[in-house]
Amino acid sequence: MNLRERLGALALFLLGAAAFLIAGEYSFDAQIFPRLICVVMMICAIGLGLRSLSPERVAAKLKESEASPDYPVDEEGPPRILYAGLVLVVAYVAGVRWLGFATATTIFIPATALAFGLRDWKWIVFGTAVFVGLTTYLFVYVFRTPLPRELPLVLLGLG
Amino acid sequence: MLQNVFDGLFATLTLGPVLAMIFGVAVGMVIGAIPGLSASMGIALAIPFTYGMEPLTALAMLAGIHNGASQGGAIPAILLRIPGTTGSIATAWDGYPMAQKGQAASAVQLAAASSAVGGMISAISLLLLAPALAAAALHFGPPEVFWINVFGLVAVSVLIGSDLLKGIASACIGLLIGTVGLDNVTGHSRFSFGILELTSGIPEIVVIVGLYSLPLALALAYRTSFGGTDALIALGRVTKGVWTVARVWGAWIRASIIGIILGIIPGSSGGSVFIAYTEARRVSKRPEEFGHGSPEGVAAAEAVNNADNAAAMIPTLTLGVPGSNVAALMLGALLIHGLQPGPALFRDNPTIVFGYTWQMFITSLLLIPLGGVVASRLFVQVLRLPPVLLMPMIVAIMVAGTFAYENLMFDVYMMIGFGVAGVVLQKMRFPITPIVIGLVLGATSEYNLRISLLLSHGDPMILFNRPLSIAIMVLILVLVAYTFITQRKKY
Repeated sequence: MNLRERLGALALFLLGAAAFLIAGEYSFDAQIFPRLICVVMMICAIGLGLRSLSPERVAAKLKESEASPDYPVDEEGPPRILYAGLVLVVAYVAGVRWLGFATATTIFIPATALAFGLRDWKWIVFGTAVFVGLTTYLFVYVFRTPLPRELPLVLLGLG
Repeated sequence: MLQNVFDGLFATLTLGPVLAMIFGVAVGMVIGAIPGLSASMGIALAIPFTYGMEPLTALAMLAGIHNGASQGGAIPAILLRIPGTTGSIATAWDGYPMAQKGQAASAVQLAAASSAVGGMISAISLLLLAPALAAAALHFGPPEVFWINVFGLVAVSVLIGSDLLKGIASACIGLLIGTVGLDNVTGHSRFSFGILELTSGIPEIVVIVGLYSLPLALALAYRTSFGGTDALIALGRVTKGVWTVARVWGAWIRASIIGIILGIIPGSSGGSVFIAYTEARRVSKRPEEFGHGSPEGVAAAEAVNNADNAAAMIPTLTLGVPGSNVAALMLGALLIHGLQPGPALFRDNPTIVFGYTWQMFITSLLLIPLGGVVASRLFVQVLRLPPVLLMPMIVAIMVAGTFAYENLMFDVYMMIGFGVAGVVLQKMRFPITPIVIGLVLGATSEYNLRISLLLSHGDPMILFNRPLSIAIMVLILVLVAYTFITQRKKY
């Protein structure tokens, strides 16, 4: 946990320092506010770094922060699930860009459900069909908000 | 005046406006329930449909969308911990734990009732106090608005004060994100690195959806590793759970008053939900329940959320100065229908003005049957879905909602980037909310600070020597001192 705290402090300090240097290129008026923020960030980073030297203080702070309403819902699980989830999401976003929203979603939902172990075909088929149909209808026809265009429709000369 | 008030009521209670109000609330709730879609987007889309309508029917539909969308954001916040808007963040803090305890329907009903009460109190203030409140709002200049924004930031810091260093660091990250794009005083492009899409800044919704939703979607995937593919909650337990009016009425009243006061002052309502939530926790007899499923937390968050709806219309109708994005769109809608906002509006078109005020009241009331009874039965069914199916659906909604905001894939990429950052920050135990608050309040804080300094030719004393500024500063000091003392007693 202490290593995590130190890495967090280091990342925060580097972010603050980089932004501080970049802001120096702007006019005086435009650089004051961002540079002020960067200074506070770097002070916080130093504070976090110093705190991370004491394992008892880190443990005490983590225990206290659990009482906060903003305490993150973090369900620890095998890292492979996190990585698999991220890969699927990134592939899906690329799919939306190239295939269109409805087409990519029709592939993404069953693929993800199957990858994570769902074998109930009734849920997968009906769930995907209802979700894709309803979402596309709501966005495109009710709210008249365009979604990324569908490659199959373009290929068929309909889109 | 009384004659005009009743004329407005009778004009509103005719078939066209009544149907338009019901339709508007239903559509608004669906819009609000989809992360990425907002009340302003719903109203912008609806305005072209109202061209051919009678003014009162058109305004009825827009009032319904306005109130419905403000309440709809509570539904994903409670069921999935995905706040559709900034205003729903605090709802998720207690609504989601309530849902996890099997009180999802109860939490949705409480959110609807709280929104209804906040909206109705706000509409009454619009009905009775509009001219007086608008005149008072004129006393709030850039220095006062700056201090109100600071108050919002301090309230959040106090709220997550158990790890102040990480809270402040998170707020700074949000403030820094808020500086991306054109500087709104000098026009200088900051942190945009030559990327055209960044010159207009990073939209709040992109940050909110990414930071809150992607970590949650991945957490749902985690559940399959230890909980199998069963539904999130056994639906048989969903309708259980109670909240009582006796327990939450104080939170309703206080939150509504805060919402009205901050709603009237243009540019200051961003932090109202956090100020109201902090205040509710401060005076509660059971503050330890906040963040773990407190009905008072949901009540305060939702009441303040809808209380600034009608309040934001007070300066719009009386002075022609919009108090929010939605109010600016409503200003446009009024002009389209031949109504010129300003003092003359109350003299020339009293039936329409008071009719609209009644519509804000009635559409708030409609939230109880539509938002409470119907939605609590309908939307709660989403918890029947296996989490592995819900996870990709959440991601798809995130993508569609973010894309719909500006029709840009770049926003989707940024949203995914913030989502990954959210996962990392969560692992590092950094709080997420101060980032969003920093982003929301940062730009207005900087703008008002710099305008104040421009007004005083660079003399910073303008921030400290005005009576209202001093009063707000005293409030900030009292809040900090009170929290410091109570924390010391606690530990």
